[in-house]
Amino acid sequence: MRLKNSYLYQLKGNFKPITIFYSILISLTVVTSIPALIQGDSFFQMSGWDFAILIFMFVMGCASFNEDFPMHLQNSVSRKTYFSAKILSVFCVSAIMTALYTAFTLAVHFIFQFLIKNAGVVEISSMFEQLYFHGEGIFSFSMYFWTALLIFAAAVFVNMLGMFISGVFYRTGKLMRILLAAGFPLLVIMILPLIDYTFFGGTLYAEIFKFIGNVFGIFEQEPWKALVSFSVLTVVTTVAAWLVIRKAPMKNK
Amino acid sequence: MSIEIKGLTKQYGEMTALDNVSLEFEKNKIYGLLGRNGAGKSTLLNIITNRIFKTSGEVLVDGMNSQENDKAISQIYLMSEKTLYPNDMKVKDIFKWSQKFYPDFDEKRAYELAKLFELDTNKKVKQLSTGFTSIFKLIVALCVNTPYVFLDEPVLGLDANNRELFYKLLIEKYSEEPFTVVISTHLIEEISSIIEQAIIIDGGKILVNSSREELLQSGYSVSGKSADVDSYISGKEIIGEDTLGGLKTAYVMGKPRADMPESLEVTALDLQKLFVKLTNTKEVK
Repeated sequence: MRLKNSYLYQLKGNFKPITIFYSILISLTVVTSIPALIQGDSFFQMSGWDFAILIFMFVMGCASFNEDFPMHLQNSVSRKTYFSAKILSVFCVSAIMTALYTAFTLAVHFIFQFLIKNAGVVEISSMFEQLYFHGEGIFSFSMYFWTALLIFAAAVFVNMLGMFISGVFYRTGKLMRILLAAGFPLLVIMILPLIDYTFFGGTLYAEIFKFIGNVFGIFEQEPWKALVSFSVLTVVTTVAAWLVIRKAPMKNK
Repeated sequence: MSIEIKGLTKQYGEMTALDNVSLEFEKNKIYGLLGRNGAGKSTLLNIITNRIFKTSGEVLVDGMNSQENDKAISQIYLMSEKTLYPNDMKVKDIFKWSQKFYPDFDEKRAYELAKLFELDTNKKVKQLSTGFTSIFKLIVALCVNTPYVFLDEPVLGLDANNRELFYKLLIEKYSEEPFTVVISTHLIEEISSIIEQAIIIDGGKILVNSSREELLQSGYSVSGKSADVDSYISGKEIIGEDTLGGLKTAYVMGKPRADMPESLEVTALDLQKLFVKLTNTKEVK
């Protein structure tokens, strides 16, 4: 009963942001599609919406913890029930986001290809399509299937990652939070590349990118490898998030 | 059926917030958990309700360990000084979710009480004043219908009228259907007439755990002309004195003498005076 109510609470908390996200997406698409409606020979391609979904899911993962966790403590819900419900809601919201995105891209293709005669071409392509399916046709079933699967798997992962980061920030002191927030990006973007360039002639990062390319199947165009990698990352992040949250106390400030 | 606390200790680094505390909250009784600021009252309530973790000891709610146990902690509602509800949530939505999480929550009664306290249920938590924030939390506490209700500094920011209304509603509800209420506060005078059992906590240790009657019978106050009072209290354990012009009131521990001078008037002890005496030992020494 408490699991169900916690799940519903967390799920409903996502509805308003999802509505806002898709309202923006649809509005922008409508505005940018106007030239295609006027000029039959125009071609307009939109990309990066799947990346926007992942950013949205990450931010939701970060933001939800700070409000949801105290609310659950107030309503006598244990951390394990809260966390179990969180996992369920993450899967559900990721599925909703993926389904809406897929339906939206299909609808746009359908409208501009078949419904409106003499219209230009409006295409929505995803980051995953560009990585794994740049040789496929527009209406390839396998492309839509794998793109949806990858968006879903990545959305689950980034949401749990957001929750983990939020949990770490919740449990650490102010100084540590500043160190993590400023230190980590500084390390990855500036210090490590500098060390790599100075001492390894750039081979360190080249190897890292090569490794990422391999485990995500980018070089061989094998999306299943990315699916497995996202799944493994999700398991690791979920376990890490639970280790952080299982003993998280209520904060007085 | 009760809440049993056995050898509970909570340490924050070197600081001991609770030191081997053992006590029991019985069913259908009103407790006053009294202590100075930082005495350990909120820490105790937060551990019982699984909000923070103990260092050692055990908390049993109706025989069930309360740590990470949904069944045990759902028997308790803690209205805490800190607001844990989301700032952007409307009061009416808090009522709705309270009903979901606590199936016995009386939503209809909550709206009745909101009307009585003139609380706008369409307002968000962040739009409420300190007083109204306390009011909405008190309304939830009065309607939640769990066997145990803990109120941590319940009247924070409330004006005199609303404080009186709250105490009246609490007594009414308790009379209709008794439940266990633990009122944690340092405002002793206000709750001294309500509580049945007083638990005084100081420095993380339980100093007193006895019925209000027993506690009040442990001493008395004697009033009269200063010279007469001074003569009478000589050699007795005094916990406080008030002087106004030539008149004096002294608060004395123990039983009044049988041969009390006629010029002196004896009345019952003031709980607050007793509390100050018990928790001020360091200064007295």
